[in-house]
Amino acid sequence: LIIKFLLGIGFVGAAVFFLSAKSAALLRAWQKIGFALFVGCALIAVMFPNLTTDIAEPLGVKRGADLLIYITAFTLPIFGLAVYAKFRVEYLRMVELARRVAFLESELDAVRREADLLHNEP
Amino acid sequence: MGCTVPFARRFGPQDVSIMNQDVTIVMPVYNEATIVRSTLTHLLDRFPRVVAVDDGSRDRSVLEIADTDARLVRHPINLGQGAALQTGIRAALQDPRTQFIGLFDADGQHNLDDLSRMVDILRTSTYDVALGSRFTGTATGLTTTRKAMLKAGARYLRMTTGLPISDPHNGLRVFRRNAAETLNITAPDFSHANQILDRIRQQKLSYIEVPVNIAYTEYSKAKGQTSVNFINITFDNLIDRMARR
Repeated sequence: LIIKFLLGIGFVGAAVFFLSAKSAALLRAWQKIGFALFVGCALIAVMFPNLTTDIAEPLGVKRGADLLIYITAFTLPIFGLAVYAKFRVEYLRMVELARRVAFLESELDAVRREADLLHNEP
Repeated sequence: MGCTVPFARRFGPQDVSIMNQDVTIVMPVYNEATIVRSTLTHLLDRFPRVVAVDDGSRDRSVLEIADTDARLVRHPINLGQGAALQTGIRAALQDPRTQFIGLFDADGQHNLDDLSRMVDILRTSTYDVALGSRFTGTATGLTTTRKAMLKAGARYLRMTTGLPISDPHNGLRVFRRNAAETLNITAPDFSHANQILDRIRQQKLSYIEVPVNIAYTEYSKAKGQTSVNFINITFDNLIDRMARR
């Protein structure tokens, strides 16, 4: 089936893109494009139900409803991966921030200890 | 004021290595108040430079560490063992005297003699990394389930990294300075073990497995990772690999 090939390639491509994207702006932009496409397709599917069957048949899918199920099943994991990728980026930022706080505190403690030593010197 | 003459000038370069002044030990700590002071005291007897990274403990671990001569670096929140190790490694690298960095667990299951031996091996060879192995050494108190999970984890890593490591999840490791500089552990939690091996492969670091003795106590078994955590480790590692492509 053509649809299996298309969805398979699309899923792997999207997974690699979301997990390896270096630019946060690019990632956010594609998330918004994906969301807009999803909403647009959903509206068209509701307003013109027969259109889904017309699109489904050339792709090797018998019914429009089946095509919608395929696309939904494809979209959900992609959405999950996009959220995971976002959390991953945020986690790394948080780690770096916490690490800098930890180093600052450590250096401050060292200065305090040194000051205490000098203060207690006879 | 203390003596201001540099250590190496007072004792000479040979003594510097004998007294382990060129070694910094990194110890991640998370809720280890009952044991951390004793582990640190023993460690400091032999290795005067220790960085204890408290990973947001909710118990008295910080106070226990503060009572020792170890350098305390304190995460404001719990970030996971991988993050704690990277923080400790970065702190160790801030000291230009550090030529070797050892990783040592706080729960008392690692053996000091093994650590000394691993440092000596790196000093007298050209290896970049020394990795402890309980499967070429001994592991007392290791349960059958955990042993099976560790072996399965090792098999997975051998397949994915191509490195014939017998015990990749052993926390006792020593790195030469140049090797530690390339590590940059970003994996959360315990999946850092997989990432370290990935780094060894990517950076083409030379390594040696050293037989070590791991003594599992009731305490260390209760503190250690659960067998089910291997699912998290494997998943995180797969994502990490995809993310680097």
